[in-house]
Amino acid sequence: MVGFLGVKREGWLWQVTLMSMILGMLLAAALKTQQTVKRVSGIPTTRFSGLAQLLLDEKERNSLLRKEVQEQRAKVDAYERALGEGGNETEILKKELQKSKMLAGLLPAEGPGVEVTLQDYPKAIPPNSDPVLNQEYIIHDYDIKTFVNELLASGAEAVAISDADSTQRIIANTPIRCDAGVIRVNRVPMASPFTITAIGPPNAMKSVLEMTNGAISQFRFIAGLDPKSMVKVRTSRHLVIPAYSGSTSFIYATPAKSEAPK
Amino acid sequence: MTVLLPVAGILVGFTAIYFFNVTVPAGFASYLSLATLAGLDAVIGGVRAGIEEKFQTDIFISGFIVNTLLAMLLAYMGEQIGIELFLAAVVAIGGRIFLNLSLMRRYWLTKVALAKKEV
Repeated sequence: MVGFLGVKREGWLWQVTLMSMILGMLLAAALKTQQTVKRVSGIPTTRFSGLAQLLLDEKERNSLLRKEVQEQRAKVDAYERALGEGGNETEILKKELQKSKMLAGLLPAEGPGVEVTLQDYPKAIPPNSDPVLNQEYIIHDYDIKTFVNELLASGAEAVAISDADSTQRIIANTPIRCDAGVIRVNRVPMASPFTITAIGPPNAMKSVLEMTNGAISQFRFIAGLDPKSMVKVRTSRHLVIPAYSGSTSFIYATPAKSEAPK
Repeated sequence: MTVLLPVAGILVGFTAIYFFNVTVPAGFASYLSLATLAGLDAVIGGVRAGIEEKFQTDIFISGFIVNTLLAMLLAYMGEQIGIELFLAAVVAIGGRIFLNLSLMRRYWLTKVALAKKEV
């Protein structure tokens, strides 16, 4: 009996075949294990060159992601800068500051309003007039104060007094007073004619001044003196008032730390 | 067709394991691969010994077992000391497989040549 490759003894063949079966089992187990490793780890190969390629791919993806991180960081920076320049909280603070400055008269203001012109009696005082009444033919500090007060009461939000030479913004501690025959506003001497410029509701302010028993009708009670010759009111759609330009330093008053009385 | 017996054995063993869900822990994957390689060496070495009529069962089985164990030991040691020592086993066993295959080829070619002469 001639067997494998012409070799007659055949006992070994069965033994080799048995070993082959074991080899097949080992092969299957190894294959299965490798497949499991690949499936579980998510790495599609365990060969070095394959792993190297994977590493390169991963490196490239890493660098891309790093670039993206940088871009995102730059974006965050830009947002933060925008926030610093005009973002939420700063924006609110800025608005608050604007409002406070507006209230303090430290910002120029513009808007609709009225112009009230107060001037000394333009004609000569009638010769038959009582000399006691001579004072009534000129504009006094209290006239200006009265009109400013009336304007503020009727809704003026920014007020200034001007004469031929200067314009004085009325602020919270603006004095209007007569000093040796000269009217001073913010301690600056002024002369007739005075113009009170008030930004606010034009028609309301005008009506308040001109109403019966209003500031104009109460202005002078002298026979033959028409208040309109000394007081003129004119509405305007656009007025500009400058900012207060005087000193803003406080010597005595500091922001209160103790509780103020109610 | 006794020639195909070892091949059929491989297929039978493969099928038996592959289609019944047998898994080995992933940590043993490289050891299993080494055992497979040792098994292949044993089969081919066995065939060569058979052809040369020098086949001995004790050498055949102990060779397989000792080779497998040595390869595994090398792999384990390599893992411990940071050198891929299992490559030594792979190269040695792989070289043996190629050597045995080349010898088998020579025997077969010689046989074919002798058969032609007789005709």
